[in-house]
Amino acid sequence: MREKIHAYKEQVDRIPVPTEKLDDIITKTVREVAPQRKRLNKTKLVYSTGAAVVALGILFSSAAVSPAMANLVSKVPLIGSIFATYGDSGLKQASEKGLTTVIGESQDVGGNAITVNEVYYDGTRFTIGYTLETKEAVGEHYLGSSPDLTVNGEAFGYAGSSKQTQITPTLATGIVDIDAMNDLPQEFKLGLSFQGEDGKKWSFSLPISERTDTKRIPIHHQQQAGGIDLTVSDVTLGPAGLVVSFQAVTEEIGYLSSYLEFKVVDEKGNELGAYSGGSQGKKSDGKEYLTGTRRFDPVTADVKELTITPYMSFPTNGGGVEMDGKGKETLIQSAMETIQKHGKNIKFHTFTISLQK
Amino acid sequence: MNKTLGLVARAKTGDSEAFQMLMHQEKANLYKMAFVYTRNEEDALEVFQETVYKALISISTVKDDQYFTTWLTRILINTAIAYLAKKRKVISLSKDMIENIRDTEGVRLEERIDLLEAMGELEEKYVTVLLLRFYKDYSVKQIAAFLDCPEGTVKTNIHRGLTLLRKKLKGEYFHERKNSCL
Repeated sequence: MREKIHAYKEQVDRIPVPTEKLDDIITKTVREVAPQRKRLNKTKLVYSTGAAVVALGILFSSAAVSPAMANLVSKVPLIGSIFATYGDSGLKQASEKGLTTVIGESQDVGGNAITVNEVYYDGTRFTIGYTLETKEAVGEHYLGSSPDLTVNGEAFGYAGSSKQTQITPTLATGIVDIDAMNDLPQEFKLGLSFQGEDGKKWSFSLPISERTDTKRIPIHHQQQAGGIDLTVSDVTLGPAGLVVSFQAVTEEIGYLSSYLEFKVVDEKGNELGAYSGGSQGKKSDGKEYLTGTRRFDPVTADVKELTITPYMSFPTNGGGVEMDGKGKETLIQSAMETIQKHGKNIKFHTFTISLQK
Repeated sequence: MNKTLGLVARAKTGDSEAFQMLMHQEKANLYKMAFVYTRNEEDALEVFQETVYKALISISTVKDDQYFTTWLTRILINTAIAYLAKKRKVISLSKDMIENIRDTEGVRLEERIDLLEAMGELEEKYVTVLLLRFYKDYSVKQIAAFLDCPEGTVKTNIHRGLTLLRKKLKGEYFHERKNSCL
């Protein structure tokens, strides 16, 4: 038996692996499928986000927009909070406290209906919950990818993610999480456009207002480690999450600081769950300037202090993609090797912040 | 393992950096399995790409984070089988492929080509159980759960798969003991 296993394993293990091609596929797939990061005027990096160009082409080449947009728009009964079911404690808490904005607007296109159930928007997060009810079972990838957004009529490229859960073969719920919120006004008209793989299109126009019950605490903590000048500028606390904002400056070595993560622990020793985050960077005078946020679970009202430990978290392989102002992208060759070499021994200090300010 | 679990949890929330890290951990295994089915780089890369795409758009559906690799393997195998079904054409190792293997490894070339050829000539059900048993080190019970079929069927397919392989390879590489646990 051992001989068989040995022979088989050895033969399969010896198959040559075209690592660079695989890396390229992963990078392109993630970049194409996940929502696009916002583009800056200057050279910037686009990390993570992404996916399969070919597969997307197949999915959407037939997604012609129906001109018949005289869709039935009606108020429909809610099937319950979408937010409460997604295992995201911030959303659940916001939903249970009644802090989300109930929308309940539905559109039926050819027998398939999308209902925007609820929206949450504050200084820490912007999330939309919806349901999809179809005449026949359409499969979990029917809507393909994240919806297109407009803000006051203008296209809004965003960093974020969308998730969908199939409740029954003909009923699914979904949420859309938008991360890059810095440029959003306090009040705006949100255009939300979903596309089905059969060409059906649903478009909503929703008034959005920012909740004002978040608390921004300036920190301006600075430290240096392994050539990274790190500034944690502030944390923003809200009922649905906590956001740590930071800036980092390094020599030009492949956006090392985009691999920064933070461990956040309250004074009782509870580590806050970490969610998504994004970074945007630009190069100037041989240095890289990065601005980013990381989102965590909300803290309870009795928490007075948080201990924050910055640390580096590297993938085992891979690299980055550089995008110039015109959207032209270039793969950064061997970036990960250089980054790991520079970054493996970087250790930051833990620091404590008071939430009583 | 804990780090992988953390990455899976993050990837499920839409963290695409975490997703990329997971893919980089798994890419070599995924590619090799795809290659066993397709026997050429071009098709194996197609299967790999489709697998990454499917994983990305459905990672939030992973029910138990510790079975992420199993979940991903299932996607790869289903994708490879569907891909071959769509393609349904005779695949043979091209000269380029042979040159590539020679250049990359340089040793035991004939043995490996024989084995890859032989594996590729098997029915997909045998390729799948052999990969899961001998490459992924799954137990018969785990394979039965993975494929949702009786353990007896798994044992039979492993045994037949090995017998067929042995015939094709003239008994050169696979020496099965009489008291095999299969």
